Amino acid sequence: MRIIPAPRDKAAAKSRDGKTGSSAKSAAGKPSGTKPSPAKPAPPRETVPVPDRLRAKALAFDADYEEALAAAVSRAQAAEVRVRAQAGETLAEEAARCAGIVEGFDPAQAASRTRSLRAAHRLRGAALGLAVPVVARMAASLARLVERAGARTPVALVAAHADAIRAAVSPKAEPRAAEVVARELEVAVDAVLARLK
Amino acid sequence: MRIAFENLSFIVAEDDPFWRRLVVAWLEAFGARSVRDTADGARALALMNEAPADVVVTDWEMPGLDGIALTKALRDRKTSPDAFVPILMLTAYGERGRVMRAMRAGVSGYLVKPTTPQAFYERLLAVLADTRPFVATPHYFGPDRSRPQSFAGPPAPPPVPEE
Repeated sequence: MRIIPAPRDKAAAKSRDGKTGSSAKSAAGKPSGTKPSPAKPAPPRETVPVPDRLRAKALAFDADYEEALAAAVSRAQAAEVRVRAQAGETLAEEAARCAGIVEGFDPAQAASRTRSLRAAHRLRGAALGLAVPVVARMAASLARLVERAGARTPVALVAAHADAIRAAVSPKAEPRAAEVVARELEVAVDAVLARLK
Repeated sequence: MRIAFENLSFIVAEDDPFWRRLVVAWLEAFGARSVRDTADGARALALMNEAPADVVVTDWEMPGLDGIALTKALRDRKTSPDAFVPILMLTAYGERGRVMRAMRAGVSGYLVKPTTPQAFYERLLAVLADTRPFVATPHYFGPDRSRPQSFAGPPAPPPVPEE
């Protein structure tokens, strides 16, 4: 005589009663064709305590938290002002670098797509850090296009992004015009991605 | 309570020169004992092998070894110089899926750019004061993700021993 173990849930009970998982689901008005997956054993899991060595040297209790935070942040903000003052050329350099990389964009080459995506992402990060959101938007739009459209990325739209980025960081750039161009690029990317769906 | 930066060494892996300079400047202003920086993940791993840092701050997108691959390499108990090292990912990617991917790789904390010195300090503190154990499964070694990060504000100072 076979001993049937006690069912662990209703589905198992129905299955034991002669109904399959799929028929049980159909009876409940749900789509059929799926079988209940057998319960997988949980993977082995070991809990490992973290050595206390680092916490002991990383935290000091010789100062008030708020005061220590305010002092540290104040020093960091002063350092940030110096870094930003030295970074005047950085965005123009990053933009030129990104535009240069995407000029040779070849959608059929995975390496070219990766290079362009990385350059756009890096420019986006720099523009966000330097508080130039319009360039960050253009770079984000370019990254989104290359990442989502992949091998079907239209080269002309990539080139339009490169031109817009160059124009946006030029000394003669008109901020409101750059905003309009950024919006147009985003709309064009939306349209391309919608077509590719 | 404060972070004792004077006791801590850092490695900053960030390919964007502006952000690399900024993070290094913040850490030095906080008083960090040692800050080494690099533009790529492979070099960060080499620096860790030369002399392990107390904390690693890494970007996601980098040439060569990216931040995810760097995290996985650092969490590999067979080869890492310190598989427990706190890893803070600092990236412009803010999408939930990206955050989950970073957590699955084993990062200790995640901070989205742009950010401020205060947010950076507080995130570092959360990472350093975190008391969660690590878990090891066949596919993961890192902070126990089934528990919330334990730090929720400055911890109380240790009790003063009675004389």
